[in-house]
Amino acid sequence: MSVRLSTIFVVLGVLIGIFFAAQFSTGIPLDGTYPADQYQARQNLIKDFLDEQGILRNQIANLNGQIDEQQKKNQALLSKTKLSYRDELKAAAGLTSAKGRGIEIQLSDSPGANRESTGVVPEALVQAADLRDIVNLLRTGSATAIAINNQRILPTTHISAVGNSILVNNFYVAPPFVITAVSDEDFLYARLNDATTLMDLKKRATQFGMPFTLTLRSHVSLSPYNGDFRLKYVIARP
Amino acid sequence: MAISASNMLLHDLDSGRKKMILFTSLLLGIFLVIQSRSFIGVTIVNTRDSASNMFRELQVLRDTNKSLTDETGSLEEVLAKSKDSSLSLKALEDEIRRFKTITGGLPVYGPGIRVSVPVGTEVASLVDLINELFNTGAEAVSLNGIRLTGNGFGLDGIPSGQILLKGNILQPPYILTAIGDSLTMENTLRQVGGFLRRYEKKHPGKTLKIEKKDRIDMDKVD
Repeated sequence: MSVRLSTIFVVLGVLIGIFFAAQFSTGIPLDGTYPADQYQARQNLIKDFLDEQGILRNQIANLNGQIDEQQKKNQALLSKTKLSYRDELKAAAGLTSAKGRGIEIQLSDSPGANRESTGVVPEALVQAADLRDIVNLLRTGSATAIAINNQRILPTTHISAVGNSILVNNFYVAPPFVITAVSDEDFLYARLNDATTLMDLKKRATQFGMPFTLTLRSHVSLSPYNGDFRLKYVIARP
Repeated sequence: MAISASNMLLHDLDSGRKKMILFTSLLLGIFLVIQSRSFIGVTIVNTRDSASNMFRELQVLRDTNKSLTDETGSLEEVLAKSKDSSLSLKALEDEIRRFKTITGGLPVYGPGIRVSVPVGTEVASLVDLINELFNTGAEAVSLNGIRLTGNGFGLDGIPSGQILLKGNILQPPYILTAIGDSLTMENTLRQVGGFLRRYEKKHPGKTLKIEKKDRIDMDKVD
């Protein structure tokens, strides 16, 4: 009896040890395990950063507008060719609004899935990878301009996950996601509808009831990019 | 009498042991549930996105705001120059050069990294890697010598298992070059839970060759 009992205890002890080790080496804390005050402090800090971000983005948009106006005033001094070339380059860089025929994709988390909850099934949420796959597909279809929740997608744009939040160009975007693309090609709409594309997302959308709709639009309008450009390491050759 | 007392003691001991086993089993059950929940919660994150924490979230926001502040500073400089008639032409020319650099209209060079991606890597992993490079501060990226600018650089898998980019079928190994802070880019790719680990987990037996380079050259886009 005592040998059997000891064996049971040893086995249970080892198992508990393994689970302790696995739990603490997982390396990813559950959101809900933060003490309430730490969580509140985090939320306050994030809010402060986001408020500041909003102010800075408005400033950038205003400054770009002021530069445009000032250069128009200088038309007598500046070459018209150079000014129009500058405008072309600005459009190519995503710094002007883009309009035209296009596609609108609406995508959201499964109804009832709460991103803040620790018990949420990740497959029922739109993931950063889903948005990356959609943008990649739109790019293969020669979309001339793309935006997610009005956040312009540039060649250097990165779409990343921070916990259950999604950042586009390091700006928070939240569901429902509206992905808009300017494109003349019906081919793109067909590709998005093709069963062999975005297979994982389409499967999850069906399984978890995630809203996912595609609409062809005769007119879409995308706001200019109002973020930063990093050119600290790149040097242009003459 | 003595026998009866000893039986009672044995009975008490048995009962105590049963309670201990019950308690231990309960504890084990709790750990099982906690552990399985934490694994369920990170499945997707571990597959295609890096694990993140509160520190990383705040760091991203802080860095973004710093970068936005720098951008407002340089735009204010352009505006000031534009208002000065002797400097307005120079301001316009500087702007043109800056936008040409951003849109790939000029050949560029700078420090960075070179990542060799083996054959058999699927489109999603390459899309994720390019995303990761821009996320870690790459300022210009090219894939097999094709600079990734404009919106036409989507990657497409074709039935032969190869990858199509801007109408070109890419030949493996896929070589990604990125200009930026080479140390940060390399460290971020290699960190625990970083892209390299996730890639190796997803592609057993395969790995990425990551090399720091003092100078990477990229042609302008035609």
